[in-house]
Amino acid sequence: MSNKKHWKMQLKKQLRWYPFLIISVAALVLFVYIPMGHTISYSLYNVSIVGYGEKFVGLKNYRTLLGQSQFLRSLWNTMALTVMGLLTIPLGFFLAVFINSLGKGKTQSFFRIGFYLPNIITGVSVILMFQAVLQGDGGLLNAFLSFITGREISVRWISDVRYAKLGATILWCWMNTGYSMLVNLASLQSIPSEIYEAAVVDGATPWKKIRYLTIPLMKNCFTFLLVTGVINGLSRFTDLYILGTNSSAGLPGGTLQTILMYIYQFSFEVPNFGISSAGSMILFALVFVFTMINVKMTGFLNDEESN
Amino acid sequence: MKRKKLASILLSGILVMGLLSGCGSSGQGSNASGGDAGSDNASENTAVTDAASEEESTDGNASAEGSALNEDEEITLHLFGPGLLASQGEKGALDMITGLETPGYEVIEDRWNELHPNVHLEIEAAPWDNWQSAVQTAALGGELDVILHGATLTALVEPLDDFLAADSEFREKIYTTETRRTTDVNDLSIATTTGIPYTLQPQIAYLDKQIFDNYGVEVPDASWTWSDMLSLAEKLTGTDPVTGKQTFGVQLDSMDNANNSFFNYQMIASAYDAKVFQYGKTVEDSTVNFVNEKTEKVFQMIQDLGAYTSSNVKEGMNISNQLTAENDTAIRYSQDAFTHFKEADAAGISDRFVFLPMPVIEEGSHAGNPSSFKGCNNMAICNTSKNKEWAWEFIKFMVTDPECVKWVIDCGQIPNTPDGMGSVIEIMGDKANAIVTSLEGMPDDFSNSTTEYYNNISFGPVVTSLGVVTHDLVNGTISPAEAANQMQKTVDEYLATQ
Amino acid sequence: MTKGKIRRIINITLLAALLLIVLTPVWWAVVLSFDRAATTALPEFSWLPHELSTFNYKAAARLIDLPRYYLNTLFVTAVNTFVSVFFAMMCGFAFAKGKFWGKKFLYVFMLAVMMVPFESRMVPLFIQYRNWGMLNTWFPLILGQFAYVYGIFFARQNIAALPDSLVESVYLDGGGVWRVFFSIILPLSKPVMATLGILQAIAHWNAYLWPLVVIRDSSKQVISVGVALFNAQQDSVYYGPRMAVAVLSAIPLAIMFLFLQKYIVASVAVSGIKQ
Repeated sequence: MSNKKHWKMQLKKQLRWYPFLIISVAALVLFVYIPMGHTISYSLYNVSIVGYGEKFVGLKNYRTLLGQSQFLRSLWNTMALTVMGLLTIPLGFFLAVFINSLGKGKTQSFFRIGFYLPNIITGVSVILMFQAVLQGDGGLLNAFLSFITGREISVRWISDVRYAKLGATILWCWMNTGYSMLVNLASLQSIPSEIYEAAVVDGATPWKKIRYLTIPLMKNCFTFLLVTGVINGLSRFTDLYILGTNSSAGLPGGTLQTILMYIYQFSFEVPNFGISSAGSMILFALVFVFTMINVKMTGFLNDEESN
Repeated sequence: MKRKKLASILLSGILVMGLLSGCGSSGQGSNASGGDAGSDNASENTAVTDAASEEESTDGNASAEGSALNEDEEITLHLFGPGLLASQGEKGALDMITGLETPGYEVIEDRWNELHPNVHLEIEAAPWDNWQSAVQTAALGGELDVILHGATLTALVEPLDDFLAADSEFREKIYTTETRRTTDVNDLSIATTTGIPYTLQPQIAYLDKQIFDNYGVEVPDASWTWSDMLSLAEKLTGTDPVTGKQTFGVQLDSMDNANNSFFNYQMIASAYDAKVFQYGKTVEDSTVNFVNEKTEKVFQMIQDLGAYTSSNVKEGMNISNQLTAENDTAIRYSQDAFTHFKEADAAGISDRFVFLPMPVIEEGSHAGNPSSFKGCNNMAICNTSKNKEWAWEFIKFMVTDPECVKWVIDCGQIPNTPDGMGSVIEIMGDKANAIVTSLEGMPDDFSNSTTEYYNNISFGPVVTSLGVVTHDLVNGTISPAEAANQMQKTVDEYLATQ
Repeated sequence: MTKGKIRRIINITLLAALLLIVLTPVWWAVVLSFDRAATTALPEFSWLPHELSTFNYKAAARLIDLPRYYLNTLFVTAVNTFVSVFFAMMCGFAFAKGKFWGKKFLYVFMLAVMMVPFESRMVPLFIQYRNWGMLNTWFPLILGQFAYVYGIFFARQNIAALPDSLVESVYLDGGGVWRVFFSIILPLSKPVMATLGILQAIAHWNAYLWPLVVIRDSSKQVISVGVALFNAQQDSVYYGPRMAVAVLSAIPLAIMFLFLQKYIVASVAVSGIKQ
């Protein structure tokens, strides 16, 4: 009897949590899972434009994709760009270290705001201008580098096959280092100062302090930035699409075509929705596998035990 | 261990969702989430067939009685898409170059309402950015009658040949129509009319007489060839003997847009009659052969011309087609000749530029005509429209009504009627000759995006691949033979998916 | 002491130089918006406009209904930001402090789709809204915001870091979970809400493809789509007016960031991602 009562109470206790979730879960099912289900089913069909005829073809779309050099190239491009884009983590870290050393106050918050500003302004329009920054002949970046080094530098950052990924990474870092800096800075500031004081007594140099104290302590922060950075990187689209003058071709030589640009191309420019859906699923699987590996290795999503 | 469990729970969750929605797809019923492929498709299909039968019946009427339009019924025509209407806006725009006001499409609306007070116009403008996705989804959304710039979106538009056949008088009033070969509307061997242009933008060459004079080089006439252009470009690249400034021989067109740089390829291919596509009834029956001597010659010409372009053109960025006093390029070619004339005129330098048709076609049945490519602003009828006759009436109105033609000209565009061209000639003087020659020398199904030289509809990502190849050729990173092979591979790999 | 001061000065100089480099493109955008010479080609870089003029702003106002787009965008952004952050907080709270059946499953169920690219489900989603008759309304822009997955994750990390004792004290007073949520969690989570708020506001303000696709009536359209109307032709861009609108768009976001930025650092600091 009391057992049943206890159970009932437990149930009641549990039930009160669901109202907090129900709306978001419903929204997720309606606006993400169901459309995604459709995408899965389209990926098994030969459809050009949705609503204008389709034919079941099983896994053929996946087979052809994996045998298509253009898709494999976009896969490789995306991964390379994602890995290069992780440069924002060390950049943000060192920027944060410098800013942190200023001590709390007006100066610090000035730089904090200043370096974050590109994140706010990044709309389509500013990316358009970046062409002129990364241009080989008379581009701002080259002008600056020539000024610094005293030598004529004319690297064609986004129109030369050899440098295009580097140029695209420069844009990526410009857009995202501010956020990485903020996260790093906050994380730095949460390290108790006693740890450093002990190190000073031991006579550690500033570099040694960073190397042996700060960096190991920031592991969680780096992991967080790594996970979000990889997820954002794998779904990179807008900036490169605009940089490539509103085309999904990924000039030069297709070296800047990401998976999502490939998917977009076959969704709208050369409508073949079956192919693009299959591409979406491959992209999803890729990100999913990455996240799961990450979860397993770091226990990132699971700090239940630590509470 | 725990992670594994989570992963498997999650995966099965996704699978279940997939299955659930998959069941939806078989079209069980119209529950809230009935946005499924099966039933959509069914409804679209019925819409199409309904419309088709409707059209048949009215076509019959049209030939018998001349018109089947009901002047009493109250209807609304929905127009959607990018182009001139969008960039002018309802209330008009400021001309960016001259700072003068240009009229908005309210002029069109007012005139139409005068003629047909029962038919209300609902014009919704789309920007050029991502316009294909906007129009495709708009068509899915229903309630779309006229697609602005729809001629290329062949899956969405109504074939217009029957309308044209019933209206021979209208066809005689205009220069040209937009045709496409596609299995969406017909078999591939037939060029079907999919849209009617209301402005025309033939490619025209602009030669800077000052640079020619400074180098002591004679300006060619309209009978020039691409080889002539190449040798001129070579002579005119370098340091100007008079001004001492760097000059460039040529500016290839649209090198800043990978989706449009195929213009260069298509014009040169037509000049050399470098046929690539041989059309059968279906895609399978057709053959595509980029790897041939003539096509290689086309790619070679692109590469050779590329050597005499500015670094902006090579890099494909920050390019302007505007004709200015600071011009440093001896030969430019691009669309929008009328606009460029107005710009140059406003700057008081229009005398400095010679307007020529593109180099002549050297081989094939059209030899002697300019190897021009024509861009346009066109209108097409959406195949799910319930007001196709009114849509057709509006298109005819937009293309031929004097008020509309005047509006087009006021906006700096070339109208699609020889009548309207008269007013352009009044403004441009003999510079308009190049335009007239180009428009008159252009066969009907010649200059669109499904020709024997080029097809951007049925054979995969030909557009973007040509964009990539053209860029690489100009920069000398691939050879003409490699370019041909790359194009062939793109098409072959795509056809393998079909 | 002096050594520290010198180091500080060097430090500040270096940072200032770097900041100058980073902000140059932003400054240039502002310059271009006032430059009459910025038409279809970018004029050469300059620190001040070649031809100072407000023409670009006039042209922008002439071609698009700027105040209307501005208000629409402000409204949609405000609603979306509020909705997404509020519901993320609710979910984050349940996942952080609740004990209920299926918690782990639901958590992973939500996080799994953090990485589904929007473009891949855009067309099915569009058809769904069409069938519900919601095209050409703001519903498609807003409804999806009820599940802000990244926000849920971020909120959970933050709320989990709050001591359980705070929550227990309300229970002891006889209060329920809702009271805990409104009187304890929300007031203590200002930093998290500020962070998520600014991230969401930026994202919604700049959203382009989805509004372009679902809204056709220009009186309901948002500013990013309006800006895109400035393309001269398919292959050229009027830089001046585009920059003018970009500058106008950045103003509310910049103001918002100025007010909220100190919370952002605080929120990252209290979240689970600290050391």
